[in-house]
Amino acid sequence: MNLRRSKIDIVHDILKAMHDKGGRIKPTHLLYKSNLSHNRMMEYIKELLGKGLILEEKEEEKISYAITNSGLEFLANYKKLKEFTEAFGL
Amino acid sequence: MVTGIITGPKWFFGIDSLLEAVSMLICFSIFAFSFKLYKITREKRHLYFSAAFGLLTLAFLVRSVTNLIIHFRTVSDWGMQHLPQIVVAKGILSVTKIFLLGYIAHIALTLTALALLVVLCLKIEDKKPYFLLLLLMSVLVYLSNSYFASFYLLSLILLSFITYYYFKNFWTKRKAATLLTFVAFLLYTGAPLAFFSQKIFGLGYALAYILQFSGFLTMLAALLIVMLKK
Repeated sequence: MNLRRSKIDIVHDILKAMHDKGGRIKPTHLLYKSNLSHNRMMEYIKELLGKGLILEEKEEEKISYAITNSGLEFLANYKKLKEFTEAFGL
Repeated sequence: MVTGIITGPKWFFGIDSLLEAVSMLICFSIFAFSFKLYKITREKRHLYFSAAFGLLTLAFLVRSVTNLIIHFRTVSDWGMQHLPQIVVAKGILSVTKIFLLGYIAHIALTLTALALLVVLCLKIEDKKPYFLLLLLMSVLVYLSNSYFASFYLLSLILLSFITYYYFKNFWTKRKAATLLTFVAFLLYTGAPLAFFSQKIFGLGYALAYILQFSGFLTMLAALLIVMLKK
């Protein structure tokens, strides 16, 4: 059994962490919840921002990340996404 | 030079078009579902995968119609009557030309789709090898003595790579859907082999279509497992 998380699992974990925190999360909390190194987490954040699955919010110079409707759709379809990606080796 | 001889049993003519049409619908389902997932994930791999099955959908559509034209004279006569007369009179289009164009389109679309799947399986990020592969295959097919023989040989090579990848995928993940995908491509790989055998034994043509169709039915089963996942 492959114990390494796939990319889709990591994205799911990041989005779920945001969702569980009421849709918004600070970077330090996300670092803890996502179980990633800081550099890797920032790579994923950059990618998810680019794809519109999350957005960056600034409040009094403090950054937080919020899940978008596209991100929620990802979470809702996660199991199908994961199954399809595994079945067709993507 | 294009040569192509259909040596299949007469009773199978028409059934081949039907099997192509159903395969087309299955490919379209995979294309549509994969594209829907791409819209959620924005992953380029999902887009390219859906593009590959979109191309296969078109390939089967073209071949299904082309087979109908050559198998059923009434269909081709009806078609010729409804073409603009100037097109028929000037010999711009004849049944033979439509047949050749259809098969060449089928060859081009199928090889483009399979090459895309190979690039996805080998996880090649750079686009240049894909275009190089397409260029080499085009030259090979064009310069060959038989478009059909070169097409089936190239399909066999590409499908072998794809099937091996899906075998490794199944071996790593050991899930029902991954097993079905591997078996699907294994059956699909048998089809070009059976097409080659049609010169040796008459039922090779029918066997090829049955193998190909079985492959796509198995792929549909894999897709249904995914779609029914809650």
